[in-house]
Amino acid sequence: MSAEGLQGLLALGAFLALTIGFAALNSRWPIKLRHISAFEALNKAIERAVEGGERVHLSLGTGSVVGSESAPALAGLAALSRIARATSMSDRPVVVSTGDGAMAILARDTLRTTYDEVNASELYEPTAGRLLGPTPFSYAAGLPSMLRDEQVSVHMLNGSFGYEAGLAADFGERAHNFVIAGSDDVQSQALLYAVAQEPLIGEEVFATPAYLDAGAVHKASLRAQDAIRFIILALIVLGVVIETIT
Amino acid sequence: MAEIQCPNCGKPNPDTAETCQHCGEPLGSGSDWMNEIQEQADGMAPGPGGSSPFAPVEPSEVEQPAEENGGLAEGEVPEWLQRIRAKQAADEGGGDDFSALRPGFSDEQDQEAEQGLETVEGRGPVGGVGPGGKDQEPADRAAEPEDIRAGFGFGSDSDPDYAPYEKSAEPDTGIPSWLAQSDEPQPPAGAQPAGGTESDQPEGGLPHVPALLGEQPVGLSAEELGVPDWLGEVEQSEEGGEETLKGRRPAAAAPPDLERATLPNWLEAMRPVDTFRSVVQIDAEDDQTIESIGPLAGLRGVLMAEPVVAMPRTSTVGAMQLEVSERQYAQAELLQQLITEEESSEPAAPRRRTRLAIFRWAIAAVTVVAAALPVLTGAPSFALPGLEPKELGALFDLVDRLPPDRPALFVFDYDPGNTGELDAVAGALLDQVMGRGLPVASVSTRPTGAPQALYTMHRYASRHGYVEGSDMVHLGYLSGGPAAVQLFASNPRGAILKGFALPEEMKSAGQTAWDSPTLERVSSLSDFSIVAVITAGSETARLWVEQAGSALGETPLVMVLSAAAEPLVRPYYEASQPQIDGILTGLPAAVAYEQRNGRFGLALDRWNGFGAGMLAAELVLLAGAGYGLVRWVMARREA
Amino acid sequence: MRLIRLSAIWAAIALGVGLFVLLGYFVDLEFVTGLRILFMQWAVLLAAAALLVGLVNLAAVHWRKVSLSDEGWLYSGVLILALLVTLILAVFFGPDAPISLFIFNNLQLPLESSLMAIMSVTLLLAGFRVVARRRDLFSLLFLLVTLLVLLGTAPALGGTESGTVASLRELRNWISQVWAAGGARGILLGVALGATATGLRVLMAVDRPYGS
Repeated sequence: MSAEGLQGLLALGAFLALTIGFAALNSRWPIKLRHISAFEALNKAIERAVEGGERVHLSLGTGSVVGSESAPALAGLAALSRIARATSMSDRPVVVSTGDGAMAILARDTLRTTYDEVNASELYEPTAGRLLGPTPFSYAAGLPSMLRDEQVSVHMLNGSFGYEAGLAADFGERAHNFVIAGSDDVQSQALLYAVAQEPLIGEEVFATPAYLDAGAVHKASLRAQDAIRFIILALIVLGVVIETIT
Repeated sequence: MAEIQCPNCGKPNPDTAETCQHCGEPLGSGSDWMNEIQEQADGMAPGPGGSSPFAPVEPSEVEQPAEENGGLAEGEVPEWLQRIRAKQAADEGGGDDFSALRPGFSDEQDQEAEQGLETVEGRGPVGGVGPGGKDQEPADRAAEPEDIRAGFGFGSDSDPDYAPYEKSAEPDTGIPSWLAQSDEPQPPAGAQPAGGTESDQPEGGLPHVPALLGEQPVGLSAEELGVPDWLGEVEQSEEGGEETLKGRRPAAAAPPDLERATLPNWLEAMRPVDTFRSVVQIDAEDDQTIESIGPLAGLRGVLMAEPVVAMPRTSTVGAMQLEVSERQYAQAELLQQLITEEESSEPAAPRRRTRLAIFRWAIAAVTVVAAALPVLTGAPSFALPGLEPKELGALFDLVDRLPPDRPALFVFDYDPGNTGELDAVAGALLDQVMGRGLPVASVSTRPTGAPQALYTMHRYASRHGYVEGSDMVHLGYLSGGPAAVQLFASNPRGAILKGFALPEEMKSAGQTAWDSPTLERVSSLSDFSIVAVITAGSETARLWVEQAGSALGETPLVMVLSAAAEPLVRPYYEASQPQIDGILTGLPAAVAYEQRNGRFGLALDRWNGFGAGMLAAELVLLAGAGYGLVRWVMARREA
Repeated sequence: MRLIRLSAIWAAIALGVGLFVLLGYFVDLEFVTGLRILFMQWAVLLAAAALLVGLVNLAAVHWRKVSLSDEGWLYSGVLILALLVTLILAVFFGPDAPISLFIFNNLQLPLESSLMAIMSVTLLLAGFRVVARRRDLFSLLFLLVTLLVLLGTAPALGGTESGTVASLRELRNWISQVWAAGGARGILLGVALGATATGLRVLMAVDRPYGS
């Protein structure tokens, strides 16, 4: 095992230990999340959609399930479970779209599992998780018709997007939907900042399950991220100081 | 043997009996006062009309024998009796029906009885028509038949003037027989009995008291009186059989005309007075309206609820002063306001007109016109870049030093949407590479990358006479993401098996891209002369740097980027140990590169349109800032 | 009980495969590295198969629209027709056949380029709204930075470039390579941490995207 490999394993181990530890200490040291207006507005928007008989649309992005592009989509799947529970009592349950076939299958699995857990198996439809287009811009091109046909009122982008994120968010804005959008790509985040009603900046896209109360482990992982972040900050500052001195 | 009348059924019972022999009602203290009265009445003189005390008697015929008083002295005569007698004396001539009702009663007593009878008649015959056809005055209905009878001084059976109330042939209805038999008593003097005769009066019986319930009014039919049908039906029940409201008397007999009874003092005292005395004047029967709704429909004289209930009157008790705080006042006002707003109808909001997306259309028009004008008209014209990026020279020199016998690998990792920019930027580098005669190979990690490479390379291949299959070859689509890149970096021939858009002769010969002269000596990534990654995303650039960097060896890695990806990829180039050997970013750098190369291509073709579009974007943003400023100033002025 | 066991089996499989792939990046054992490559190849194959499944699902959605004559069914019909034509041509003649390349060069490429052009207008409109409606410090900063970058990137109007333009270029480079890059690096660090946390949650079977 090389030194780099060992360092990587140690870092992963520390991350894992911190996550488990914070989850175990949650009862004694409750995790308080900082205020993010986007998620508060999202909760209210979902409630309004449920009461108004309108639909929530969740987009898991155009990234492939193989590779780092899958990470924000996996966070979106965790959020999907919560959203599906919330909308299970609505006339129009949540609908999911992706730009990747495997991600669409995962979305359908998540929906089916969630509806089974809430004893609402009849709500599951195979078309609830669908592939809109195999390429990013073809995916974006399929959004307007879907938003109109499904009577969407909450348009949520939580996945890996490229430049098509700007179009995707704009289509939701044009349809007067509540638009909350986040991506792992920095350039897409810049587009979404200008276009979306509620943009998610940085790693806020990965915090979606925690803010939707998906579980204590999700909140604990946020705290572990903060801990590792401060360690990295300290190392960076130390490195700058050392480099400057030497 | 004296008899006691049962207070319940009115039937005579021996005085020693404790309970009624007919109905079982206790004949206890309740009958004591009856017995007393009976005893007093026994001393009364019989009426001149005969044995019946109800027989009409002329006042002059009224004697005041001592034995009439039952042996009682003058002072021992009850007050009520005295009143009756007095009234009788005062009402000589039959002006008062009641005075002739019973001889021997004093006027006062007569008056009391009359008042009592008034009370009784107040709820008596339908239509309020009393005996003699007179209109009845409203009277309190406090008196019960038994009480009235007592007030009349009904005596016991030993009273010679008292004749036991003869039991009628009617069945036992539970109503006192004296009350039920309205035809028995003789009508008083001056009264016109309704069909009744003196012979109808019970022989020696108790004075008749007008029936409390529904006696047939004299001379009027049920229809004239507005009697409800059900009441009329009840009236028309079988004779002597069914119990009816008015069935206490034979249907054929007309009720006698009776004088009003006056209540004795003690009874009068029991009645609450002056508390809720109605101030409503009961109209005459003809003036009374007939109730039209509700269960009392068809009846006259129905009390109206509203005038009585809702009539404002001051409370005799001092009104309470409410203590209301300011907060409660405010809440009350708020509630009032809410109710008022709820009732008030708001004018309909003007229908929102569908607004044309003016700004969107205007900006689109400005952008399109700006980009198209230089192409169509040649103006505006923008100067070529006088300064070139500092990394441009290094890249140019790097490409200039490439060995001519080793192929260059171009990775087309961008979507067709980025064709407009990256075709021009990549074209500048391709043009130089092809100008030096280096064999070129292409690969892509996107499905649309392979045809994209074909489209872009064909443009420059034709310029330099490159032949497919010998001077350039396409490896095609490399599926699998990062793992595929790593696999390709370590074993290119294992990652790509066939190739893309191979010449027909190679296909027919069953050859792959690796069999072409371009790639026949390539077995690893380091066998290429240069690897140029063309991408619009920083993630793709980082992927190739991280996955393929270790397998490149001495082969330079060059990034051809969109302007948006430059900030994140440049650190790889400017690091102390750079992982990228060259970088070419954006259209301005491409134009400068073409300038340096001496061969202009797509970059120069799009330069003026690019400049005009950028200028239009700047103007739009400034216009937006100005628009916002104007709106702010106007809002401040209005405020 | 049966459902719980099945769920545990899926979680065990996911955990085992994930651990091997993860270890393969850090451990230099041939067995582990080989197993990682094998799993990755399986994943690539599954992703390709899933793409086909997704296309079938896409066709089913639009076919349902056509069969029920819902609003916009005509567009759905065109989509299905285009899908079938392209699929048949590519299967029979190959993806590198002239007819397939003709469809790409004359339909897909112009369409996607047009969508990118629409996006540029959308972004410009969004920038216009930001500076016109939001009147705060960040909007002013946004406007200033945008104008500086545009002026520093765009060509000079007529004539040779002056010293002003050169200064603007330097300013633009300083903004993009120092401030923008620094901020982007920080965001990337956070994104990397978030991705790591998400991956670990999947490995711990806390998040089960594969359902039960």
